[in-house]
Parts: sequence; C-alpha cells; structure tokens
Amino acid sequence: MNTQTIEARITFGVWRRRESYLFRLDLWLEESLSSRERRSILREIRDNITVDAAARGIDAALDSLGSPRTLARSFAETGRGSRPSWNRAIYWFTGLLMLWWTMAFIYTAGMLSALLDTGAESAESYFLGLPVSAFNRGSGIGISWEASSVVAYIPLMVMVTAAIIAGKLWRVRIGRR
Amino acid sequence: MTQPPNTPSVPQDAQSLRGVLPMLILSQLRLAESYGYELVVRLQNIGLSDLATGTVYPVLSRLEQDGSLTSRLVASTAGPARKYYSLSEAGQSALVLATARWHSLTAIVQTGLGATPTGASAGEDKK
Repeated sequence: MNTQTIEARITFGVWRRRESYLFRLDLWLEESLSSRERRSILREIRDNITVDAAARGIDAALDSLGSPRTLARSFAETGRGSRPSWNRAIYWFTGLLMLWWTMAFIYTAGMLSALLDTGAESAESYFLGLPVSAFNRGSGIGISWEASSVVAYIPLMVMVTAAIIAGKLWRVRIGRR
Repeated sequence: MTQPPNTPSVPQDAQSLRGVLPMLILSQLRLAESYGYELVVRLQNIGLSDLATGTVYPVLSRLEQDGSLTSRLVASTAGPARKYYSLSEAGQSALVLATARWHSLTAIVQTGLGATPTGASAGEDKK
C-alpha cells in the first residue's frame, strides 16, 4: 500500500466519527497543552486518521489510536503539566447560568401563581439580585425580569471574575510544582 | 503486510516495545523521512504487526520536542499540509547511543538467559 497516494475522500459518517474523536481528544489535551500545541497535534492526528481510515476503515483507525483520554495523557507526558481547562470552565459556567435563569423563572412563575390565587394586580421582588415582577390585569398576565440596571449583571460579573482569578491562581500553583 | 523472515510469531510485550520504540523510530527516520501513519506502516512492516498508531504519535511529538527530530510541512493533494519527520543531528547521536545501549543490554540478557529453552525448543524437548 502506498499511503502517499491515498486520497482523503471521506464520507459524512467517517468525518463525523473523526471529528467527534478529535473533539474529545482536544478536551483532554487542554488540561496540559497550550492551544498552539493542541492545534498542531489535532491537525496531524486528523490527517493520520484520514489516511488510516482510507486504508483500514474508520473503526480500525480509531481503535488503533486508543481512547482520546489515554492518547491525550501520552501527549501530556511531553507537556508542561496541568492547566485549567477553559472549555470545561465555559461548559460549567453556561450550565450554572442556565440553572440560575431556570430558578429565576420558577421563582417568578411562583409569584404569578400567588397573584392569580389572591387576585392582586402585580407584585415585585428580587431573585439573587435580579429585579423580577409579575402582573395579573384585565389585559392579561405576565412575568418580567428587569435587566436594564447594571445590578442585574452583578452575579454574571462575579462568576466571570471568580473563574479568572481561580484560573490564574491555579496556574501559579502549578508553576511552583 | 508481510512478516519478515526469522521473526518469531510470539506476541509482543507492550512494555518492552515501549522501551525500544523511540530507538526504532529514530532508526526508521534515519533511512527516510516519514509522516505519522506512514511511519507506523513501516514499523509494522518490519515485524511490529500489532503496533498501535496511538503509541507512535506521542513518541514522535516527544522526540521532536527533545530535538531528536525535525519536521516540515509538505503540501498534500489529498488535504491540508502533511507533517514529515526526519532525524536531526541530535537524533543521530541519540540513535548511536541507544543502539550501543541496546547491544550491551541484549548481550547481558543473552548471557543471563544462557541455555533457557524458548517456547519452540521446549516443545521439541518434550517430544
């Protein structure tokens, strides 16, 4: 087999599995390698998977690489040690933000329910610093969150600041090892 | 893929292979530059038929970082530029040293093993 003549014509299925593998590999590599190093590794592995998949099939190509976690650990042995994972931080941050908004929505919906029960026209309150209101008038019912004030963004700013400080402290701590 | 002559059909030990893999990679790249997958195929063709690609690529990365290998990107008609590795001067020296160590070790092991029967000869003894 002359690997140099293998053309990189891949089906969508092969592309999807290759990119899925590389995505997971990137997540694990992020713990120990810089983005520049990761890009270089991923570019090379992508090319090698493409050639291997054309020769032996995508199943054999991915089996031979092993799990993304194991492969990333092997690369990490040449890396600079553990780093904070920004991608995961973003996922956690987004998840927490969604949780916070969901809780705010439930809280406000509870206010509306109380208005409907009591027959009152409107109510205003705060949920973790966010001004919220509910109304029950002849024209209709509704809930609202007021985000016009900078106060509404305080929880967001606190979370971002905490993530940045934690990341910096982590790097300082790892650098001293 | 053909099995080279005089290669015993005994499964390879992963730990032992890991120890000699950098030396074998340096040795192959001394003969000709290669990109990752092509190098794996070359190593499989010399008898490491069970060699996994996932064990080779990180070693290439480490050897490049050590300065034993240099790399260059070559434009490919099949897609993005391909990374070819070749031996550096430091890699030549590392290969010479590793080879000397290997010969020294195998001589000691041969002496230590003495007349220990191999699997094949043990079978013959039983007959």
